[in-house]
Amino acid sequence: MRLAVQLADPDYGWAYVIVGWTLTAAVLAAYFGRLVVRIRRAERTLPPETEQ
Amino acid sequence: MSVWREAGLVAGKDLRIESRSRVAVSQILPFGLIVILLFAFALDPDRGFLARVAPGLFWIAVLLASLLAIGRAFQTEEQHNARDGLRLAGLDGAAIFLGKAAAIALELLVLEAILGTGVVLLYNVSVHGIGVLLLTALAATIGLAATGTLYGVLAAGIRLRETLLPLLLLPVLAPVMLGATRAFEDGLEGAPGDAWPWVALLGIFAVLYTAIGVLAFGPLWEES
Amino acid sequence: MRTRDRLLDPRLSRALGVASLVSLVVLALFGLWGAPEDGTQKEAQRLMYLHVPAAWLAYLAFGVTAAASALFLWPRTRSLVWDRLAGASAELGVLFTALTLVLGSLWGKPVWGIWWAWDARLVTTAVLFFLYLGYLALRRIPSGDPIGSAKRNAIAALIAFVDVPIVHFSVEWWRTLHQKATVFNPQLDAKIDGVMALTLWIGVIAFTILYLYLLDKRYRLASLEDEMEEREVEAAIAERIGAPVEVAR
Repeated sequence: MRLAVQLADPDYGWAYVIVGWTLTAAVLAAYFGRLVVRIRRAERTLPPETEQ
Repeated sequence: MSVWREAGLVAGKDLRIESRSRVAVSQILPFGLIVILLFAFALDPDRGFLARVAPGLFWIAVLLASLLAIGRAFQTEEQHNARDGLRLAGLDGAAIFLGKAAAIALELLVLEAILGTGVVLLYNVSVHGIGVLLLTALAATIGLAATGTLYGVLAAGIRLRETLLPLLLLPVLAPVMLGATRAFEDGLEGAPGDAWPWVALLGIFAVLYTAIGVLAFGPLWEES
Repeated sequence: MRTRDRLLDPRLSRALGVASLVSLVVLALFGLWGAPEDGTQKEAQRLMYLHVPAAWLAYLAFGVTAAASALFLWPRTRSLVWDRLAGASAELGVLFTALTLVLGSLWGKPVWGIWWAWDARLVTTAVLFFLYLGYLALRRIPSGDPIGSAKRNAIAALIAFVDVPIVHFSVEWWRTLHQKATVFNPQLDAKIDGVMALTLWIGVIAFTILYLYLLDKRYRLASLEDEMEEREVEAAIAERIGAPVEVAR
C-alpha cells in the first residue's frame, strides 16, 4: 500500500489543526506547571540555600 | 582458568538447577504450549489463518516464554544468597554472562523445537527451507538470550523486577521479533533467498548484544 | 555532600524562559496565520510546524541522554550531574515523542484518511517511545546507592540507544512509504515555499530553546529531590544511633 498525500478530508482540516495546537499547548503548559509546583514545594521543604 | 571454561561451569550450574527443579519443563514449556492453543481460539482455525500467520504466532509464544525463562534464571540467584556465592567465587563477569546466556539459549532452543513441532502439527503448516529456519532460530535465540541476560542482571535485585523486565525487554527485542518472523515466512514460502538479509540482521543483533553483555555484565553484576 | 545544584545560572534560565515564550508565540503567529495554505493539504498542513520540531526534539533529547550516560560511565568525568541530566533529558524525550505520535496521527487523518499507518518512521518512533518509557520506569525505582543505580541507569540508556538504529533499519526494510524528510533536504526551496520553510525553522529553534529551559527546570527538580532523599536518610541514621540530629547545616 502506498499512501498518497492527498486530501482525504478537505473541509475540516482546520479542526485537526486546532485540536493539535491546543493539545500541544495544554500538554506543555501542564508539564511546565507541574515542574514549577514540585520545585516550589521542594524548596519550601528544604532549608534555604547558603550562598557561597 | 579461561573465560570459556568458567562460562561452561556457570552454564552447567544453571542447567543442573533447571534439570533438578524442573521449572522449565513443568511450567515454562506448558505455558508456551497453552499460548499456542489460545491463538487457535482467538483466530478461528477453520479460516486457514493459522497456517499463514504461524511464524508470527510461534515467535510471540517464544518471546513470552523467554520472559519467564529469563526471570527464572535470575530468580535462582536470589535464593540462599547464591549471588553472593557466585560473586565470591572470583569468576570473570564476562564468563558469568556467557555462561548464563548459553544456559538460557539452550533452554530456549529446546523450547523452540517443541513449540515449533506443536505449531506445525496443530496449525497444519507445511515445512520448507529447514536450513533457513534453523539458522534463523539459532541467531534469534542467541540475540534473545544475550539481551535477556543483560536486562536480567540490570533488573536483578531491585524491587518490581517482575513487572519491569518485560517493559524493558520487549521494545529492545522488537527487531528480533520482526526479523525472525519475516525470515520464517520467507523460509516457509520456499523463498529462502529473501530470508538471508533478515538472518544477517539477527546475526548482527546477536553479536552486538553479546559484545555489550561481555563488557557491561561485570559492573552490573557488582551492583546488583 | 550537598547535591543541590543548577544546570544554568538563574539569570540565563530566566532569559531562556522569556525567549522560549516569545519564540513560541512567533511560531504560533507564523504557523497558524503567516505561512500560506498548502496547495494539496490545505489547512491540515499547519500541523507540520509542531510535528516536525517535536520529532527533532525527541531525537535531540535521546541523543543528550546517551551522551550524558556515556560521560557518566567514563571514569574521568564520572559525576551524578550526568545521571540527572540523562534522566531529565529522557523524560523530555518521552514527552516529545508522545506529542510527535499524537500530532502525526492528527495530521495523518485529514491527509491520508487514516490515524495510523504502518510506516517505517511511525513504527520506529513508537518503539522508541516504549524503549525510553522502560528506561524511565527503571530510573524511578529508588535504591540506597546513588552511584550504583546511576551506573545501572547509564548502561541501560546506552543499551537502549544502540537499539535505535537496529529498530530503524529493520522497520525500514519491512516497509517504506513515508514522504521523505523535508527539513534537512538540500533542495529545500524546491520542495516547500519560502515562508513555510522559515516557519519550520522557527519551530525547530523555538522548541530547542524550550527544551533547554525545561531541561534546566527538570534538572533542578531532580537535584532538589536527591537532596531531600539524602536528608531523610541522614535523619534516619541519626535517629537510629541516637545522636543529636543536625537537620539544617
